[in-house]
Amino acid sequence: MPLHQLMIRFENPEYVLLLIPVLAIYLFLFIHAEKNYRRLMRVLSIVKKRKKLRYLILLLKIPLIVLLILSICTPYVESIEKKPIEYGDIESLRKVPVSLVFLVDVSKSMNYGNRIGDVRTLLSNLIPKMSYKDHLVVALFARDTEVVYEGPPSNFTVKLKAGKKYSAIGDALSFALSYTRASSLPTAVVLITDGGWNYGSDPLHIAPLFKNIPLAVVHVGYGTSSNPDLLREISEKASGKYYEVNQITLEAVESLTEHLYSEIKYSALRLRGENYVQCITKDYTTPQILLWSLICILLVLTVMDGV
Amino acid sequence: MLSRRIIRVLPIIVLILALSHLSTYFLPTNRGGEDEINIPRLFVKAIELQNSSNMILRRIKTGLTPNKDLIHSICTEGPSISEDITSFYQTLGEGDLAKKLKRAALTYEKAIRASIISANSSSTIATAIKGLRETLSLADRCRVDEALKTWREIKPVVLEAIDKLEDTLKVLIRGDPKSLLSNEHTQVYEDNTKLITELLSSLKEASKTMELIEEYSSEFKKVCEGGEACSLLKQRARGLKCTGCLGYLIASIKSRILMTSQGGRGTGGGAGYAPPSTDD
Repeated sequence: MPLHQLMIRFENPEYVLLLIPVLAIYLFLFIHAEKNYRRLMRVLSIVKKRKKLRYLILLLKIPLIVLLILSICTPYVESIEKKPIEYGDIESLRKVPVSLVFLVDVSKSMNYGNRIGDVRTLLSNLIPKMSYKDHLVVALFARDTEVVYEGPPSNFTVKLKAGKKYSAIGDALSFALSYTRASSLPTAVVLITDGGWNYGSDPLHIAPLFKNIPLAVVHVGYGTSSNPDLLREISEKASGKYYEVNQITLEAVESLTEHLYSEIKYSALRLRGENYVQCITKDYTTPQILLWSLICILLVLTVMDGV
Repeated sequence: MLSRRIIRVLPIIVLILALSHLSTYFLPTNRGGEDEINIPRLFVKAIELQNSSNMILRRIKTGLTPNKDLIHSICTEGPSISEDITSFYQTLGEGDLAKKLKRAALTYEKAIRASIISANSSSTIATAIKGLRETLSLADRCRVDEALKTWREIKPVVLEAIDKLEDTLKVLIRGDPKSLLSNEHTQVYEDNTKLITELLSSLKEASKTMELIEEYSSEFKKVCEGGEACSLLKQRARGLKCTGCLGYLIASIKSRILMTSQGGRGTGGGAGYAPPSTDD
């Protein structure tokens, strides 16, 4: 159910300052007219009976002036509607920011069979799909994890180069975990590796800690130093998603990256309860109709005394 | 006394007159020549409805349910616009300008007719896409029996959706987008053709994939258990095109079948795993 929030605002609130000169003129005219009125009163005695009514009518002119000035200020009713984002609605997803942490394996084994080339292809398709509102973090890992880029996706230019010793998948996941806990934005993690873990903490011990942080595990390459089964297990323990990147799945890289991005972003927003977009609508008609109805009533009442 | 009365009544008369003048704002504006066909408006309306059709198709592509309001507006406004364009087409005579207008009118009419067909069948197409996504996901996760059960349930809907998309495409092909009166209109027409083609190829390839799994279900189960696929299944899998919105699921299944021969994937017994060397 969409949630509504109503507020009355003014398009030109500065016009309210007109009240000062207009009321001053009115007071001046009133005082001036009152002198003439008193002079007339000495001659005519008819109006005497309606003295109270006359003062009421004169007083009504003040709200009339106020309402006219308010109408010039162009009031509107602003309603903020929170529309829930549907699963797969990539256009709506782009309107809300998230932080995406990419953990990219740059160990020696990533050079086998051009695995790092496949990662480049994947990232060069995935990052442009991100919204300009998103926050991108790219961390490369081998024995240690190092953040090489942090900022808007459009400025990402880091060249990936593999060949470092060891593959500390568990340590990289621990790093991502502490990073996401410190982030104010809804955050998701994408682990890109061949799965050849041979250093540092056991990734299977870290994976269950990702229960409340969306994790996408992307397996790259087959053969030596590749362990898709470990990665599947990590993804299952983290209740995450598992993706395969190889020459065949890269044939559908557009569809793969679109799916990966929308899936991970939706999960990040849902887990933080922020999977909605705010739509602001401005209604100028209703307040003007209300104001002018009041103005008309007051106008009729105030002319009862004569112009 | 009389002048005093006039002074009192006069502002009231002025006010009444002003209010009655104000009421004219709420009267319908004069649309001169309503009986005549407003050709530019019709052309713009035709493209507007085709744009709505594009929005519906884009939602279907991402697995979302089509927007009912847009479907309703296409189905209610579309037929009369199509009729008006056809009657305008029949009034055109000979000459260069008339020929140009004839070509344009014909294409606008095709745009509206294609939009009506796709709007009418949008729920069928959406169900087919959703069903295929589900069945392919199940197959990719090696839940073969469940995948086949879902596939058998949705197969008639998928075939109907393919038929409808083919009908729409046939209509669109008969138009000439270059003859439309503005570049923006050409863009909308071409986008529509592209979306229909993409959805059609997605449905066809996904159906082909599921038919292959259905035909070689025992072989596919063997692949899921870490075994190697037979050469015939591999050969057939190589022919699958990983296109459209379901492309990554088709690719994933194709890779599952073909990669087994490269010491690749599989869910069972550590398939493809070679222990890393000391510092890899």
